[in-house]
Amino acid sequence: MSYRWVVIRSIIKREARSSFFGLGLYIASTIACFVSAFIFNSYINTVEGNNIMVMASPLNTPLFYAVIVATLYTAISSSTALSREKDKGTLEVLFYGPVDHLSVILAKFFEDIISFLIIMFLVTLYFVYAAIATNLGFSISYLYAVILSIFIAGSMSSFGLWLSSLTARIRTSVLLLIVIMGGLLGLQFLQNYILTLKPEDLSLSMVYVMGILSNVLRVIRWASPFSYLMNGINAVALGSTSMYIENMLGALVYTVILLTLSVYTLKWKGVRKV
Amino acid sequence: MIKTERLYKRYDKVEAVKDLNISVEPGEIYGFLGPNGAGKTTTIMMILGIIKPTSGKILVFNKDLYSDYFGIKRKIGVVSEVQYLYEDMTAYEYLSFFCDLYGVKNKNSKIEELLHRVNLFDRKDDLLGHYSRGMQQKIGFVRALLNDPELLILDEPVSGLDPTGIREIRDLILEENKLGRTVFMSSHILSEVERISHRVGILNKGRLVAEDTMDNIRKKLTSEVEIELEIDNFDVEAEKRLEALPFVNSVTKEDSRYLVRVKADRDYRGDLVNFISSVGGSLKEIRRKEMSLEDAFITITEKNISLFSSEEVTE
Amino acid sequence: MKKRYLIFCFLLISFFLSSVEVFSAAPPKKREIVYSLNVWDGKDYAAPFYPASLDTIYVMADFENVYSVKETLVYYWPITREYMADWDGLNKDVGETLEVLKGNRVVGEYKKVDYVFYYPKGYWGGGTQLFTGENARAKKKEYDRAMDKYWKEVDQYYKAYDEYNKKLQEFYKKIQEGKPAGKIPVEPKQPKAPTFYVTDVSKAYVFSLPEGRYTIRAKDKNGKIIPNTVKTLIAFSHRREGIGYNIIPESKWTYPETADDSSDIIYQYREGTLYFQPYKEWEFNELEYNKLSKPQSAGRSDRWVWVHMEKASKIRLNIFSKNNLISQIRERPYYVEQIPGSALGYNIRLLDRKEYPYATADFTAFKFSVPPTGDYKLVAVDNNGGIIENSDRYIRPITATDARNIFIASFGPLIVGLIVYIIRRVGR
Repeated sequence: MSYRWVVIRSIIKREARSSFFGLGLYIASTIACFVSAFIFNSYINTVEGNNIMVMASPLNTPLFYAVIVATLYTAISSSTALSREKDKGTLEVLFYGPVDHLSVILAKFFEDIISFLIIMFLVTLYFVYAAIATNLGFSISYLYAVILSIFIAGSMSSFGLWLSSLTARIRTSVLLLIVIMGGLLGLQFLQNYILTLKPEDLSLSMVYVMGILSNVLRVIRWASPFSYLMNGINAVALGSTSMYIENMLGALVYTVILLTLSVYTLKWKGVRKV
Repeated sequence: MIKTERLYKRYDKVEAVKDLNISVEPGEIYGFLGPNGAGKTTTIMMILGIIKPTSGKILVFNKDLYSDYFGIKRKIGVVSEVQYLYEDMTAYEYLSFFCDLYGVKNKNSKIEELLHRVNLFDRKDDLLGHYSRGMQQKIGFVRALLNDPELLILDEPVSGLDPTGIREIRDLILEENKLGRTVFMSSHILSEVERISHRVGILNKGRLVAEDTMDNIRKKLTSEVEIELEIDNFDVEAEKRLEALPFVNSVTKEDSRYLVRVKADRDYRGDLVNFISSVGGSLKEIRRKEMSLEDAFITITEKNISLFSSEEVTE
Repeated sequence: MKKRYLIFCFLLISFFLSSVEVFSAAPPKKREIVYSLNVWDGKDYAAPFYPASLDTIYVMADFENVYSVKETLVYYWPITREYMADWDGLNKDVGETLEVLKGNRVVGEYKKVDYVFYYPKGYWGGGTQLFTGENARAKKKEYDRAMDKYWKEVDQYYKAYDEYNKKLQEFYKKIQEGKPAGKIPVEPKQPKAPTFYVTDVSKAYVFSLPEGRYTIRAKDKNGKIIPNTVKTLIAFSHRREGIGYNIIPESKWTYPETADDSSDIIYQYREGTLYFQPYKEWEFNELEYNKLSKPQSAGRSDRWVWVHMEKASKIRLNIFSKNNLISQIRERPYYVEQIPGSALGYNIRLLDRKEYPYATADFTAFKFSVPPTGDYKLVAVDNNGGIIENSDRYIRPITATDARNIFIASFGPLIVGLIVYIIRRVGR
């Protein structure tokens, strides 16, 4: 094993320990479960109201919301991971020793994935309870969705880490995350709206604006981690293997690119407390 | 141990470090001095690879840092002015983490031994956030020593400490040096550096203006040396003859005490003793007034002198 | 710095220019050579048309479909957001031959033939059949004869009705005068119109193709390819066959649900009764199936849809619990009995032909009363006892009556977190 992996493993251990003993992870899990509880409640109400409900994988919808919460936690956690350490000066201290940019980024990334898995484990325990209590039952697609969600969490984490490598203060990175997330989600909704329109319905100037927007959205389709989340959920809902694998590979490539970008950004911006 | 060649660091229009050539020899304590903003920390950060130099070369253990990044970093211990610690960890957990990072074997015994040395063993399970400044500084030292480093880089290690803390840290540095560790220490507490350094380098406005032993720096800085004499049976004639000696520049008298300013090219105390005895004077005390490092530092930095050229530095 | 701005401006201008392509979209009404088809969609014949802007035609493999090449006026209809053909404005048949190529090899050369659509239960009744050549003409004659006969019967009916009116007036007059009127005249019976319908005999290219990707093109009488008639033709087939279910819950019989895929789980609120109406179903690629009847609609090539083809007959449903057969169900007729009075509501009752020989069933179905707990598997079996593929569905009663415990349990992770946090603080 190369020495870098010893370093990465040590940092992961420390970070995971810190997350495990902190409350953030459990609060995120609780929010994820609480949001899912509303979906379970709506199922009970639907079956009670209509006396019947037909659904292929009923756990996938609450899981979708749980994954959104968990990946948002991952994004927030990763977007502050480096800036917090920069802000507190602890990142600089790590670099006094045998730690380089790549090992820090990889360690933070894997720790995010571990935290995400802990959340998903707690969420799954809750889902087991809910599935037994309601008799909704489990299907194999739940497992597929969870596996895919790990890749989506990876893309979220790498995106957050990149934002974090750009900034040196927690507040700035959180603000940046909110602005970018808001912007990306806004554009994603705009895209859905645009898809319902036809150029022929619009005035010429609006058609021109739409053309520009569609080009922006074409780029965002690949640049936003939320696209991978939405497409991933669609892939599981549709049961499309090709879409599932395509999305998984897409998220993986995205993660690798963003992690590489994070390493170079961290080198460029430095690791010292400002 | 450390060698820099024509090292430059430029931030936009500001040159933080200019043409820096320092050399730290194995086993020595090297005091790296300079006023605030002189570029000391920037230099240390460049040595550690945390800041990228604009140009120039840095050799640590005669190797480029990136030729064996992890290998070199594992042989270095670093203590900074302020200890940035993970405050949610206990001292033991924190040190254990760094042991893992450095791949230290027998980490428990190592941590225990070092914590005993700094008298913090009883507090090993306290959160670092609850530690005082001095205790945090000691933990920083322990962290730096976990890997038995061949080179200790200390950036203002006693800054902000009380006199007891300063003495403890000073003793620790001297002990570690005796164990064979090379120490590269930046500080603006000149008395400390003077007391323990074998050699010093003085950095002013990003440029190294002096690098030598203390004695040599003093010599280079002064053209005369003051010698205080207390003499009985020394008449006016003898005083005139004293003033007339070729190596004496001036003599000031106060009761039986004389302040004799002699040339600095060599030690004239023997000549003075011989002369006083030849004129029948009775020498009760002779003392050479040394130029302190502080005097030298102020002289160099205020006058912006470079001892490499013996002239004022032109920007 | 200036260079950086220049690069930024260049990128911005390039970006804006790249969007100019959108300007090309224009909606005027124009003459176009189009394909007009009658394609079998598994249940009936749909009539899509392919404007010049569409380059791929979708048809179901191994079924006879009707192809026409027409010149017409095409316009954009913003309400439905699709291109429409103004057949009344221009409807000109073009071309003499239709060629189908597989790669560069011509695999079919077709001439126009006579064809009709035969609707055995009337135009809206479904079960449409296509007849070509002599059969088409014969079918049309059959229809014409039936219609002639009908019109004659109608004529006779009106005459008889006039006669009847006159006799009736005389009858009332005699009664008013107090004279013996005899028997009341009998009203003539209305003739029944033919229940079936046959379209006029038309000419088009009619053929079926095996599954595959082809090129289609039309040629004029000189053998020259007619511009804009070269298109890709995809003859697709279904991926799987199975049994789909229309499920009527007893408590809400007007709100049936469907369970088309084996992965669909049927949830029932505690114990209750469900009525299953099984259909033979085929699974198609969503994109291909959507394009079949609506070529301008969207669809996903990675998604599959089940299409109910016809009612499944000669089957029974087996219900299993933990692999043990617990019930075998047969199809029965049911009727809905309204509860009179202020209580309202209804009961679904088995229609007993012996008891109510003249009553009609509201629906026929397979009835299963779901127990309050457990999970059950429903499987359709044919007359020989063989399990029909893709006919299995799970049925689960929902056991929770309220979600309070589910909400409370969602705080589980927080409790775990607090325990860990306290252990950390106290244990140190």
